[in-house]
Amino acid sequence: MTRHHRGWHFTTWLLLGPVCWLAIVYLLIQRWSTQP
Amino acid sequence: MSVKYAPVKWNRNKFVYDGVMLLGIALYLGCFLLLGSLVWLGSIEVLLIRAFGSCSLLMLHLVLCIGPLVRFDTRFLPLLYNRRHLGVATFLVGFVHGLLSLGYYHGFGSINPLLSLLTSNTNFLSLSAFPFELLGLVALVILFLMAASSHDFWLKNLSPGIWKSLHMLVYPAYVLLIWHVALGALQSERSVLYLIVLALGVVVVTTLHLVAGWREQHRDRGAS
Repeated sequence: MTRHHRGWHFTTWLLLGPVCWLAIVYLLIQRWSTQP
Repeated sequence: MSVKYAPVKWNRNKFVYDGVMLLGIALYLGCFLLLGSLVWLGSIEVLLIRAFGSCSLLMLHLVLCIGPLVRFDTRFLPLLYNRRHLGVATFLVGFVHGLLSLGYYHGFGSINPLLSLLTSNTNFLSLSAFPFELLGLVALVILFLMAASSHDFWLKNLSPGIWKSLHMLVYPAYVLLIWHVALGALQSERSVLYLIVLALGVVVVTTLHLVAGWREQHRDRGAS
């Protein structure tokens, strides 16, 4: 893998990682707010 | 000028790799269906849909972990050796999940099942009622394009740059699938266990990629 590609992979995950975590945060808030 | 097609060459390592992979898929599906039939009160069709869907997502996690693991430790190289077959199998298992879902949820109406899938739910502004199926469909199309081009013929024909860009679409496909599960199955399955399993997968994949990338950026800066 070239240095250019490594940079692209890292930047992509810096952007996409938080979008994945957001789904987990959304589910946590949803479960917490609908607890009896 | 043309690109010559060369058939895939098989060897013992590839047979062993594929054998272990197929055995793993069969074991996962078997265990899921066996345990599911003991605790699941819904229909067998939905259990099958969940079995294939979760198997495909687990396989995608494995595919995505192989790259950074190899960058950490070369002992993981045998996993990288035939990753293409694992990727194609991931698409095929996901495709079965998609077909079963399409048939079960959209196959018994008066309109075309695919048209029904694309038009029956338009709650794009609601998170809890979002048409999550569309997220899965887009991800499946990406996985199909990757599976169809997983051959040296396409690598040469498309050029390495375009081929690599096409295959990097697996990252947005992963994000789409996480949201597909979060807004789909996890809206009806409220057990915290499913949420923990999904969160564990997300944490492992994203952390591995970010830490591997951060280490290499650090090393590259030191080298220059």
